[in-house]
Amino acid sequence: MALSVRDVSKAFDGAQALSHLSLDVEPGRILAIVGGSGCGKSTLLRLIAGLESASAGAIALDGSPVTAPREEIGLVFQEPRLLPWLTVAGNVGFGLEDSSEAERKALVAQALERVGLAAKANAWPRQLSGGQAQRAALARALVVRPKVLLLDEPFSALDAITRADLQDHLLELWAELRPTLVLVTHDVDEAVYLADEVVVMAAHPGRIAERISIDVPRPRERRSETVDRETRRVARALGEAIGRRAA
Amino acid sequence: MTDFSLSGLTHAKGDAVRRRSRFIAGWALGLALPVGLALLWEAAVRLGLSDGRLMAPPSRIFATLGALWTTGDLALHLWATVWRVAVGFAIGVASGTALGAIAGSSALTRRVVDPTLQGLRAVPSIAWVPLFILWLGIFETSKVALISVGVFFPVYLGVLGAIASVDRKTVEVGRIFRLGRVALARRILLPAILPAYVLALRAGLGLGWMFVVAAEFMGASEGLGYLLVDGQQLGKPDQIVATILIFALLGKLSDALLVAASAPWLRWQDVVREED
Repeated sequence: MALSVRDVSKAFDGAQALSHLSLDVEPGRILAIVGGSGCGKSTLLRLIAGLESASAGAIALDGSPVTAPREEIGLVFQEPRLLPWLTVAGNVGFGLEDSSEAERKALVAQALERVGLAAKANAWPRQLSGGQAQRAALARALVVRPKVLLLDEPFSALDAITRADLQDHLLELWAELRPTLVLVTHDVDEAVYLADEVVVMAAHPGRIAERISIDVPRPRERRSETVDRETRRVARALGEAIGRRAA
Repeated sequence: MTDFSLSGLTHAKGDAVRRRSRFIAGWALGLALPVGLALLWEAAVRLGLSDGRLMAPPSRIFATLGALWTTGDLALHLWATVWRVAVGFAIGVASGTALGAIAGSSALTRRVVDPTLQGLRAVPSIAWVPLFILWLGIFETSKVALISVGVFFPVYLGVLGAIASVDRKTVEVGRIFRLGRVALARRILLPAILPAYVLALRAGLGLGWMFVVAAEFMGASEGLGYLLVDGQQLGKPDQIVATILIFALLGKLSDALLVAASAPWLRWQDVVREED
């Protein structure tokens, strides 16, 4: 589904978090948002998710305005946020309350299989490692088949190896299910490796400083001349965006 | 295949045996001190080191209990006390839960109600006794009321605190999945506050047993508290110690029942965290 952000502003207690921000994401594309801390990138994601409402402007999904959380929009938080009193299967099936028991079981089993956690279905969240827990969170968001999946620094708390592993995993899931992905990250390498387009944000007030298309065909190398060139472009733009704020 | 499943089975069996022996060892360790002291005291009295007049040896306490039981007195007093605690506990839990939930979910109610309740909580419970007797009479009602007051406050505070400390991040998960108010309460808030709620109930139950004695001191003709007063007035230390023993057993037993009843819903708390 096409996502559009039109001239959106958001103020918290008078402080301008986002100012006149516009953005379009075509269906099935992967957009990465990078920016220094306090540039409002997480706020933007929360607005798109319907968790906050914009002070001005509008967010729309295929033309219909987003004012509250929507079925078509999933969100993966920075932390797994699994409910400790439900098993892994219970957590993954959390959004399937309206489905029949049999259907829910089948969908949950399939989703767990997809993220490689079939063996952990009956484990409690406390028994999972950080990477496994974030996988379960990903499965919980995907099992309801969202058209748009938002990810708020989903891998930032993981070690480098687990992070790379989950990035590849996310790409596999995306290739299979083709949701529109919007990923907030502070990791330039991650943004370039995953995204079709990188949006660089600047702070005070939060706004888009630059949009950079990553025209590298998939599957991508993590290190190659083309990837390195794109990474340098994004890093330079990010440096300028952060520097501009300091000036 | 067969070998594999068999070895798995023996493994599980070994686990069960280990758990069981650890369970028994735990009991044995916990009982060592009181049983040891009782035996020492018994020996001291038998050897004539003490006459055991003010502190009866275990054998005499059990004899007293046996005598009270055969006359039917013990069952009568036991039942009277258990009944008062049960009714007082039920009323205290119901009102504490309701007010705690209301105050916890509405900031306005909390600001209106909480200061008053905190003030009342500061009143020493025994101070209510004369008032309750004047209002409710000397019989059951005033006693049950006093116990309810004792149970009310820890439950109220527990529910209020538990609701206040529910993680906003967990609630957001519910919002993302578009839960309505009722579904949010049922699927997120209730399970989130349950551990703290069970602790509050246990604290409330403990106070219930405490307050029943205070209630029965204020003129009762039956109940374990009456047995205590009777033992003091007629100079029967055996009866006092026997009653104290019963209180200890009742308190421990009722608490264990509460824990066991809540255990199926709190199983997730017991699992060990695995390292990354």
